[in-house]
Amino acid sequence: MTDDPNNQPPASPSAGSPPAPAAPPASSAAAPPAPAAPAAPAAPKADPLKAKVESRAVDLLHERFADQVVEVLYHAGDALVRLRKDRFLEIARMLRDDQELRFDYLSNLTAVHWPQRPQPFEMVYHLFSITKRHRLTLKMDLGEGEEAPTASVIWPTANWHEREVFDLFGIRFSGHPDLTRILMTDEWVGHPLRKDYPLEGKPEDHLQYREVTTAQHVYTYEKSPIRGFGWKKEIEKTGVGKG
Amino acid sequence: MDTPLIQTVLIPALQVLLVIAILPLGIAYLQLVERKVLGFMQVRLAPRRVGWHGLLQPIADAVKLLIKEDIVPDKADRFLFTLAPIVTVIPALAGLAVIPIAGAPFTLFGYTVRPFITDLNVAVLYLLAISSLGIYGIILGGWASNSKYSLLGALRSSAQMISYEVPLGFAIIGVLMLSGSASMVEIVNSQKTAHVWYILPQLVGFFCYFISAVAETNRVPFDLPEAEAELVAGFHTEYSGMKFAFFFLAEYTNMIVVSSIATILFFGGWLRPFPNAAGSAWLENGWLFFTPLILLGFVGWLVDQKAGTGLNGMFTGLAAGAVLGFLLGRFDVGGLASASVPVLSGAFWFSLKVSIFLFVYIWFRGTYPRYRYDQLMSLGWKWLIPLSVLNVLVTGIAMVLFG
Amino acid sequence: MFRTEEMDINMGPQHPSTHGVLRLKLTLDGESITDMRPVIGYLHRGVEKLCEHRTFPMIEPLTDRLDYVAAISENLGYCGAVEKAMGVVVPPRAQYIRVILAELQRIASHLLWLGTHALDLGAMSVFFYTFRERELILDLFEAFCGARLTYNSMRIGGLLEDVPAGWLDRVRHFITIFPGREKEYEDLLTVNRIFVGRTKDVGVLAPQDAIALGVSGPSLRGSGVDYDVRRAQPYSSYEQFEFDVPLGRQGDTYDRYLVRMEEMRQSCRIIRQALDRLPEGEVRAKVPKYIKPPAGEVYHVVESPRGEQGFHIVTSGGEMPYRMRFRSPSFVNLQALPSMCKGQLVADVVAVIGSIDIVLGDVDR
Repeated sequence: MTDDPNNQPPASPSAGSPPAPAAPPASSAAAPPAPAAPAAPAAPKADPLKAKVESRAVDLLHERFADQVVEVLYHAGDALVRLRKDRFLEIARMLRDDQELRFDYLSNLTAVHWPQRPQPFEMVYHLFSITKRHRLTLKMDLGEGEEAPTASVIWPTANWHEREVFDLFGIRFSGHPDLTRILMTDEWVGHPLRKDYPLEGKPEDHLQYREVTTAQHVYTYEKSPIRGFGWKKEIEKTGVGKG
Repeated sequence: MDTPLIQTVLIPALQVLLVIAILPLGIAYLQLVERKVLGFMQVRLAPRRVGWHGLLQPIADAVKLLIKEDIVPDKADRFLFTLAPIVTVIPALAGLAVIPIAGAPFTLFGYTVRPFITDLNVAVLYLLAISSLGIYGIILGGWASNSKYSLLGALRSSAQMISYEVPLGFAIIGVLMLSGSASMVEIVNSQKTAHVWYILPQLVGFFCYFISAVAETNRVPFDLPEAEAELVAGFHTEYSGMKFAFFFLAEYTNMIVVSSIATILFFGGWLRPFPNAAGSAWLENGWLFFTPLILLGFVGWLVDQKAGTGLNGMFTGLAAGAVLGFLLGRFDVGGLASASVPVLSGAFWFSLKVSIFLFVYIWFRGTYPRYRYDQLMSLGWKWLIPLSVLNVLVTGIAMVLFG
Repeated sequence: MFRTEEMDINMGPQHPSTHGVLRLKLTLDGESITDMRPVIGYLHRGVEKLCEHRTFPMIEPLTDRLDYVAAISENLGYCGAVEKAMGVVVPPRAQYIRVILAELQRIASHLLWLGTHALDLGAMSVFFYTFRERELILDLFEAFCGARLTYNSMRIGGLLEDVPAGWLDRVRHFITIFPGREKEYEDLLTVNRIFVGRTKDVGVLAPQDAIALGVSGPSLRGSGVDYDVRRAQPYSSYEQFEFDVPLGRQGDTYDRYLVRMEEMRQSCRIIRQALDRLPEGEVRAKVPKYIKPPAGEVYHVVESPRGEQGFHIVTSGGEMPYRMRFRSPSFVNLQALPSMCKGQLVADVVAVIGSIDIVLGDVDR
């Protein structure tokens, strides 16, 4: 499953290139027709999806916490700021309480698993300001086993979101009032949304050995509780496969 | 044979047996009526598959309940668990002993059969006492089920019933004061001599009585103890089969008893309306008037169903039946009017009034949401009791002033 | 000699009025609640994991089954998110028809909410009346896309087909008769003393708490906070429609009820405007045969009848998303339940659950 070519993570963490300062800042909400070439991301200069968005929050973050900002991305009209973990709560509190920003609404809190990266987990926070009507996305990279600060002291709604992230990814949150499994049963072992967790069944039911590789085929022994067990042959080594 | 023995023992015993035999069937059909009426209020067709238009549904339900597996929860107290429905049903049935359904006795094979099982001169007191006994069964049922939900439901239900006994009693006192007797037959006769049904002087008393009665019988809007949405089924959650049937029997019998008391105390029992209006003697044979009405209306409705003409056929039938009935009674066609047995006409009017009350019960069920428990209790204690006490006071003062 | 104990009671997961498999652990002191802990996950189907193994068009039927009561808003949000990720512009006719579908779905969902809420409180007849109207709407949906509950009605880039012949007239007929029907429900409930007594001052949610807890939708607007995604972050041409956003005052169950009743009327208003101004044109933009949004991530929100429905898609340039996250409003609104029920009576829990209008498919995904 992890070899599924369609599910490969992009080559570098910031696949969308950083906003080229030389690129003409097209109106951020312009939505052009879909690119004709279906596959690769469009060339950085002309890609309107990556156009820079005016964001007061990004400016303030650069002003006050410049050392904490790892990078700023723009995609599809939103500003995404990757922050360090060190002073995350301080930044969050500033974002919530600052009079210009007033990000009082945490819309979504989730995590993404990038097993290829040095820091495999990425926390994503989607903030919205009800009074000022602007949005911001925060990201934070975490290593395996690293604990994240809990955002529930700033936005109490993060409580259940963080429980879900813990349940499905295994990321622990320091200072969380009640970090228990929420969607899976309490006795569950494993964290299902990780990329190394199988789609069907539990990990201990799946055994995969890559045994024989010829020029044309890869023979894999797989034991799956749903599709039976035995040797399976991939039709093409580089094709879509049986995923 | 010893005639007094037959008169005083055998005939009432036969009456008791008759009631116990017929009542469950009647209750079953009352349930069908409830489902039908509720269905029509709720824009749907109520049971109509079992038998013609659902008329065999109650039989099917009864058979189902009888052959259902009798589940007793593991940790339940077996003896109390089985005793509870019995303790609930018996007082309900016992209440029927003092309800008179007509004004005059009739003779059967030379024996006088009176239209009631017995005529206690403290019938009202007896009824109040008997209905209080029914509460024990509910408490027992909830306790013996050994389940939190049932216990909660039983506690709520018993507290509710005890609270509403008080305004019930007070509302009745007004009628007792006016009639001067606690015997059911006497109360109706006093309404006859006073030429007015006690609903008019005792309007407030009637409303207190009826609302308390709806609460006593655990019906909407006071049916929180058995509310599906909250406690699954309250005190009878764990009951299945015949025991469950007994609880239902008790509830509907209580409804009938309470409606009967309401008609007797406030609506003149078996008396016909307008007893003194000129030219209304034909109403004395109410059954003679209403029977063609109902029959022809029904025939008209059948024609409607077949021909699809909405309700026009029914209304035509009703009108035709009304005219026919009036003519039959007014002009004593075929000697039917004068030959009709008075007990039949009394029983007819009594049944009609009780049916109207039962319809109002069902109407409530189809319309109102449920009171929350504390609102229910505050309604009983803070509003109905003072109101009914006030009613007694005012009645007393009025009696002293106006005689 | 006498002492009182607190009683632990368990409501659900199998219960007539928890609207699905929701389990509530209540600690009662007599009749009032001292502590409440919702336990969810009984309907967790791992949709987010499934999405990682399906191509983008294959995910749309899965979104239907999240909030199965308001599946159109899920479809709309999902297609909107993918379109945002690809930079596709949906043609105006498709946008208007999507708005009509979404508002019809809002009415249908609120009708179901009203029926079940009234049923929980004991007014059975309202349930049948609301379902009578809901049947009319479901018939409209069936004529449009063939399904009554899980529609899969939209495609990335617009709609699959234009509306069937006569469909628009049927919609117009529906919104002509609907206000009269709604008046029926109001007559039965809004001024009924018993209903008002059961819902006034029950389950009060203060506006600051609501915002802090992330509540959205009518539950938030019932507390007086003016946040409607259709106004604040318009999508699918909502900025071209005139409609009011009803707000409550006290944040109790009665206010949430009034907000939803008014929303149904406003939905009729939006549909009428959409029908009057429906542009001509095609109903699907040109999209490639294999949908492969460029690498990146988007977060798109729509206003479902339950609140703010968010779709967070992390794409890697392939045919399948790298990570699909559904921000479901019921999940977040349910978090506010304990704070709304503290100190209330057990009978109120049912009223409050009904008023926050959760769907367990949405909660558990």
